[in-house]
Amino acid sequence: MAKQKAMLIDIKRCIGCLSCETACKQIHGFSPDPEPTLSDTAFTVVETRGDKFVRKVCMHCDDPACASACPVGAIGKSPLGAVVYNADKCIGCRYCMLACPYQVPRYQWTKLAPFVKKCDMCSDRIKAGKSTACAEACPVQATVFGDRDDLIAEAWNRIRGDSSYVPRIYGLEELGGGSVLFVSDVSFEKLGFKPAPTGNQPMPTLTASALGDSPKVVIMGGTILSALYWVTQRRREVALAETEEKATINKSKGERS
Amino acid sequence: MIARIKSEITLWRVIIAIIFTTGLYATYVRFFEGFRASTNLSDQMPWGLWVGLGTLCGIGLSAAGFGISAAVYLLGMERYRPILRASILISFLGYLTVMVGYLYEIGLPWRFWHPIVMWNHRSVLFDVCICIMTYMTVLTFEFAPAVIEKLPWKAFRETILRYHHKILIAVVLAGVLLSSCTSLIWAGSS
Repeated sequence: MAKQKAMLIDIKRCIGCLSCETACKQIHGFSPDPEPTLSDTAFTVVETRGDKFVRKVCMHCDDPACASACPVGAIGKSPLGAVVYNADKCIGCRYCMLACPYQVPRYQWTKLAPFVKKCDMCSDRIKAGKSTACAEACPVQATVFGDRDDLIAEAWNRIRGDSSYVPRIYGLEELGGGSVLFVSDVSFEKLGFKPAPTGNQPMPTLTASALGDSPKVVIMGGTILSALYWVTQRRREVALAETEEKATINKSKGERS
Repeated sequence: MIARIKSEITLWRVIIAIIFTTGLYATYVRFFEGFRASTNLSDQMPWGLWVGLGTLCGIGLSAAGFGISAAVYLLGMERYRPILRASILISFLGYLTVMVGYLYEIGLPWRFWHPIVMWNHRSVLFDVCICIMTYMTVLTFEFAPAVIEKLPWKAFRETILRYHHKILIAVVLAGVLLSSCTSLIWAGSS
C-alpha cells in the first residue's frame, strides 16, 4: 500500500509571499489575481493575522465529514491521503459545504452547470510522484510535502529544537486527524483556528450511530404495524362470524315458534 | 363576449395568475441564468431558507396521507374512510412540491437519479433521498385508483384494481414506515 502523503505548514517560517497561492492558481489555469478568501478559483489563500500569515486550505481529513455527507459518494479519501471530489457523480446538493467543519468546499455559483471546487492536494501530481504545486513553489519551505509519518517526525523535531514553537501539531488529531499539519509559534486560537467542534472525534461518527439504527427501526416498525393489521382483521372476522351466528340462532328460533 | 371574459376574472384567479407568472420568471432565471442571478446563496450560506420551508410544509402535509391510511387500512378505523382519498391527494401534492423544489435546488437537476444507483450508506441525505423517492412511489400508488377508475376500458381497469388491492396493505405499511423515517432523519440531521 502506498504511504499516506501530507503537507506540513510552518506558520513561523511563512513570509506571506503568496507564492503558494499563485502556483495553485497557475496549475489550475485560474487568473493570477490574489483573492481574500477561498473561492471556486482559489483553493488556497494566505490570510494575515497580526504579523503572521496563515494558509487556508483543505485539511484533507482522514475521516472527512464532506465525504460522509455526500448522498452519492462523490467525495472520497484517496490511498495517498488526498480528499478528492468526483465531478461525474456530484448532483450539486452542496451538503458537503454545510458538513465541512473548516468551510472549505466552494461552489461555482455563476455557472449553469455548477460543480463543487476544492483543493485535491494536486492528486494527479502526487500520483506521479511529484510534490504539490504550493509546496514546490514555497521559497522558505514553510509548506513542505512528503510522507505523513516523516512530516509528523519533522514537525516534532522543529518543535523540540526551537522553544518558541507551540508544542502542538494542529491537524494531527483534530477531528480524527488529516493530511495537512500546522506548526506555529503563536497559539492556534490567536491565529483564528477554531476549536474542533467534536474535539478529536471524527464528525461522521456522530451520524453513524443514528443511521445504523434505521434498519432496526424499519424491521421493528414493520413487525408492529403488521401485528396491528392482523389484530384489526381478526377482530373484523370475529365480529362478522358473531353477527352471522346470531342471525342463524334468531332464524332457527323463528322457525321453532 | 367581453362580458363573459370579465366574469371569468375573479380576485383569486388574478392572484394565482400572478403567482404563476412570477414562478415562470423565476424558473427562467434559475435555469438560464444560474444561482447567482436567481438567489442570494453564497459559499457561506449554501442552502436557502426554502429548503426548510419546503421540507416542513411539503413533508408536513404528507402526514395526512400516512396518518389516515394507517388509521383506515391498518387500524380499521372505518369512520375516517370518507377523507382517505383527500388526505392521500394532499400528501401526493405535498411530496410533489418537495420533489419539484429539489429540482430547482440542486445544481445539476438532470442527475436527480444518481442517488438510486450511487449509494453512500454513511450519508444522512442519502437516506432522506431514498425515503423521499420511495414514499413518492408509494403515494403515487395509493393515489393511482382515483385516476385508473376514470379509464374507459373496463376489463383493464378491473384487472389493475384487483392487483392493486392485493398489495395495497404492504404498500401502506411501507409508506407509514418510510415517511416516519424521513421525518425522524430530517429532524435528527437538522
